[in-house]
Amino acid sequence: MKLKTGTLKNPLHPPNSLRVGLLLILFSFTVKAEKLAEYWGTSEQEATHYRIIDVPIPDEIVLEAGSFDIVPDGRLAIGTRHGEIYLVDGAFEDPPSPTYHRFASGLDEITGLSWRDGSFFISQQTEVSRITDLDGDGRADEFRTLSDVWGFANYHEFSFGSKCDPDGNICLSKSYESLEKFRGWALKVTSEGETIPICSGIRSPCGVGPNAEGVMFYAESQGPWNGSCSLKHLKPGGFMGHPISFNWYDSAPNMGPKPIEPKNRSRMIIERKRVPELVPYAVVFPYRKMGQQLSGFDVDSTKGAFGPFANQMFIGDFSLGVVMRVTTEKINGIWQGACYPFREGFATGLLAVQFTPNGRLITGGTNRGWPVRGPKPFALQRLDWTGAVPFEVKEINALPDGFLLTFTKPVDPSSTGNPESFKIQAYTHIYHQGYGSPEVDLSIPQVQAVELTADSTQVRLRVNGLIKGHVHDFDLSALRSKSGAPLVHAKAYYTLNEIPRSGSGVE
Amino acid sequence: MNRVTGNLFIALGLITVQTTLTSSLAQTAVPPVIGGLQQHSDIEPLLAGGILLSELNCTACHSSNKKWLSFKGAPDLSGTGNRMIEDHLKEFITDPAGTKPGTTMPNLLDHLSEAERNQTAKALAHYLTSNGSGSVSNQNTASDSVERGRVLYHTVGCVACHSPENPIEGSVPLGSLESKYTLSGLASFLRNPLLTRPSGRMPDLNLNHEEAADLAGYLLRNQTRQVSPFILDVQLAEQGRILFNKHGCITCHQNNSGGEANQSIALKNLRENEGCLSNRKGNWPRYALSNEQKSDIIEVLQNINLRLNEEQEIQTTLTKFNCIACHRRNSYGGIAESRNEYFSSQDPNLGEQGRLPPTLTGAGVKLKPAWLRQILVQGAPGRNYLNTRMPQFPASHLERLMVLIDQTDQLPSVDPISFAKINDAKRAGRDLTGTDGLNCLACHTFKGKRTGAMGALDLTVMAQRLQRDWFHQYLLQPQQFSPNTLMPTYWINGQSQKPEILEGRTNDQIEALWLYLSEGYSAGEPRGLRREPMKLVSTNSEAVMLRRSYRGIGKRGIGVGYPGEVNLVYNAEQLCLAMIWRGEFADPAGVWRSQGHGTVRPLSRNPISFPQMPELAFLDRPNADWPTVQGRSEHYQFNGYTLDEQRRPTFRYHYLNVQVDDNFVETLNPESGTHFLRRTLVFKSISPQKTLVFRAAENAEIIAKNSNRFQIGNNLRITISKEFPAQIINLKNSRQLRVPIHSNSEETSMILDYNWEADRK
Repeated sequence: MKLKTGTLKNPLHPPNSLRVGLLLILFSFTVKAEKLAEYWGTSEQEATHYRIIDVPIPDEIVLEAGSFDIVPDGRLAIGTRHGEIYLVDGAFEDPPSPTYHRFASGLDEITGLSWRDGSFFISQQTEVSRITDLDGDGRADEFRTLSDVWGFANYHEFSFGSKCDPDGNICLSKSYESLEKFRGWALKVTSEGETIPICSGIRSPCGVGPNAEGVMFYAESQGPWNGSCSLKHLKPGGFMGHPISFNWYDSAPNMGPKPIEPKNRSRMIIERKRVPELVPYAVVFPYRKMGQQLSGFDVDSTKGAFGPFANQMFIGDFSLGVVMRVTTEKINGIWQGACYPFREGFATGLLAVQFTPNGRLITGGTNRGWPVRGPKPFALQRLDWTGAVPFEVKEINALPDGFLLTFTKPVDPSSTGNPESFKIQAYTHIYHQGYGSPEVDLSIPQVQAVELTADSTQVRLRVNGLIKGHVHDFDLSALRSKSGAPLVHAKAYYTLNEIPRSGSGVE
Repeated sequence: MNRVTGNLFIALGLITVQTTLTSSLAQTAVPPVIGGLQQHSDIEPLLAGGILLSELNCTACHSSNKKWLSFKGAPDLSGTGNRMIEDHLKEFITDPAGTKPGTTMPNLLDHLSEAERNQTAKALAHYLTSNGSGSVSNQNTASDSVERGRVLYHTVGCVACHSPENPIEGSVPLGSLESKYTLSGLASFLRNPLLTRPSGRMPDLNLNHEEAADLAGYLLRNQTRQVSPFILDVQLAEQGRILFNKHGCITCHQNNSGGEANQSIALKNLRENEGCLSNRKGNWPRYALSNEQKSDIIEVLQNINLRLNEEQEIQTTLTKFNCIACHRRNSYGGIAESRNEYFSSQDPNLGEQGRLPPTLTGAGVKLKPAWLRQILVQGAPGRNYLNTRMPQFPASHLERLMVLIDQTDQLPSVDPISFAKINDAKRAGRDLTGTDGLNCLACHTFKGKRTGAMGALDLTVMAQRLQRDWFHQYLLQPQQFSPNTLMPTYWINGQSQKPEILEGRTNDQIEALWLYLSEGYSAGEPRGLRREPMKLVSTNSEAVMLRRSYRGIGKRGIGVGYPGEVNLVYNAEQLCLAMIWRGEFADPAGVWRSQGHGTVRPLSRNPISFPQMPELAFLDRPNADWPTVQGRSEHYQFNGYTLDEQRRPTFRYHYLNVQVDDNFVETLNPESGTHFLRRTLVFKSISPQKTLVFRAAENAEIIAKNSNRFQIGNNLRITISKEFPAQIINLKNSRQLRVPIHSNSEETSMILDYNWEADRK
């Protein structure tokens, strides 16, 4: 199949004006078999605010959830690694009283699932498909291949897809070798089967979707050219950092010429200047401290029904079975932001998370194949907010001369005077071909001044020694709320790709 | 109640306080029952007295700075109306010990006249019931639910403290639950008891919603009375709120009444025969204390400045929370003889150890503090074979116990052992674990998988639970640490039974095991871990499908198992029939286990394979060279498939502008009684310029049996629709069976039957 004007066309589905979006990633799912990190040790406190509720699974079903969606009648749809799609009633009830209906089976591993226009648009390993129940008997009977332009060179090449978005489906692909077409690439697939390469340089994604502003991101894994796991912005035309995918620029004329190769054993902040297409990690998740294999994520669009973190992203981790929070902001044209611990203690490795209409977070996955902290081979669990607001750093924003920290509850003004309350370290990772990286170039930025807003919920830190491109690692364990409580999670990690220009920051 | 009568009422109450009468309460009522004290009379009187002061909430009014005497608190009464019945509350408040013999709730109204007492209790009960949404419901429970509840009650641990159906004396009383609780109220209490009873004396048994409902249904199985709907009397409720604070209820019971705790004489200044400890009525709580209980309390008052040693503190806490109903620590506590039969196992092969909760002797040197904490507070995976559940307690009450256990228990430390190559040591540990080593798998599960007859504690959580020093010493002498254990020592007199591993060095072997198990869930699987075979077959007369990698076909294989034991794999990348076989469909373990990087294995020893390349080509003439394509050809595009009622697929693809529908159906051969595969190919929009050729088979041996029947190799016979004359084409090393498709119509159908040669015999 040849590319014509930068697109790939499936003859069965001539283009028309309707464009349905679904983002798909193809990649190799590789977790190094190394010892798993310890828990944060915060589950006791977490449980008073967010309770993990088991959603029972009948004995005869192997439910290795790889993707979720909510269908218009309110049922939870689950795509599994076994290649089945289940529709579940009652999963959001209290207590959960689910009944499972198998809508489709026999598919490859489903890592993206989306309901639109009366069909499921799924990403399975071999293709993006549109699946429909034509005769209305509750079981799918039409399976249309929308795109299968990518190849397979070795076994650990997976594909991960987003949900449909208003504009287009995107598909990412990856392998170490990139011996087959579009391995290591992000592709956009439309509902008519049009397939458009949009990014190169992907290593090993797992999880792809938009932030609250509708901008596409994907979760990248630690490994070659990735010192740690991170969330990356899928900037159309961008290069995500792993040069082995350069093989396929000839097949993607819309992407322009092949970028120049990044230098080995360098730093992202240096190579960004040399390689204009290189998109820096938006949010770095320091390895082991914040997961070891990021996975699916979803935006809290429940308008407060899940607590005080509306519009933030919640991302799972496969290895450690934890859920973390992410905030993003665009500074000087570059996406960056922070990640925060949120909830640990899930029963299995998480692959997908999904907010429900009534403000709960459904999680699912498996511990199959790679080292995973959770003991269950698979599980479906729900995270319910108890209604008690936890004392947390709600968000960190960059300022021209420091950071703005917003908290979920008023801070004790006397504890903000304690220099121990705002400890910051800055470090980065080696940008190289080798597998992962230690934290390097460590420095200790100095907090010069602390200003508390009148309502005591925001703290403005003036910091001497901000380092562009580095992770700024916050330790706030000495900070106290007005009622004297410590933070549920005292850690937060801000990736400072860009420092806002004076006058442009959040005031 | 208006202000005037309210004041009058209070005034009357004050007058009554002056008329002190000797009560008969102490002589007739059952003394308060403290679970931990009932079952174990061997505790020192001083400790028993202290436990009473704490459990009866004495120190709520009589303050003391002694931590071990701190009061436990009473149930949180906010939301009472969601679970309790007003009439019961009234009766209970009027006469607690009479309504629930053995209760720890004192009588606070004993000094009032009968009329005042009744009116006060009525107002209090109404006020308390007004707290809550009021949406109580009561429905009869199905008998199977009652039966499940009965089993739960007698197995999960309720009867460690409470009485089984055959009554046991000294049990923590339940009172008349039927008159106290609504069904939904009791179920929600049992689901999360710590919410309303934050003292943790009724711990959280991890009941799920259904279990809590079953248990509540069982406990209320004799409930006949329907709960009458609560009708709010605002004045009465307000009167109750005022009385709630006046009578000091708020001192022990949290709620939202807005009152303040009563404070009386400090504990150290109490006199032995005054107030609550006297037999007189007065404006104080009246407890139905036994003489022994009184004397135990006086023992504390006389030794008020005494400091407990660490083991005494531990004993006190274990007694308050009645840990000793299930556990023994050194010579203290343990399961009472009368309750022993209620401790049962899911795995009788594990013997007493599989039935009885573990000893707490040396728990501080055995368990890692974080694991101990998890067990107590959050629950931890572990002894799944015990039917009795380890309940969860509120962390705040057990912080000190966890520290004490950690500090008090002692064990000699084991010197560090270093290895030249740590990975070699871990490998040795893995070898020791497997069937060729010490075969730990014979008894222990590994990542929840059971290999032998027993399901003893999972090996992958050992290092998370245990301390290294204990692990080393336990493996040498398991019986020393755990008298009930079935665990043998593999180092008899310190001699290894496996001299070939690490040269038989005992300490090195144990350290190697420790290092290997320290990998936890990441640890590689030991040799001999048994796996159940997997099989995917057609059921309910429907075809079964699996799109996955098949050997020799690649990642875009679509396997289909038909009813009638015929099967195929379609190659959706090369657009061809890839393989067929008879018998059962497939073993998916290669793709449904581990990373899934294997292949689906057909359940047949001799599947028939076809060349993995497109079956359709436009040729200049039928015997022209078949086009060879490296990898994928851009001329072919798979479009998916539709399923019929029996889930049988019709595959669809495009070859240039030709659309192909490719359908397979299992078809019965009436002569042999077995099935063959009937394939229907439909071609649309054939371009007339060139000859479209279908390649039906390729084999070294293809023989024409008649004009449309062909023998392919030894096993296969293909029959093609008569209107499509096929040709055998000789190639260098093999032959091909080709069918030219000539058509002038928009749509052309061709049928091929695939018969197994054995069918003819």
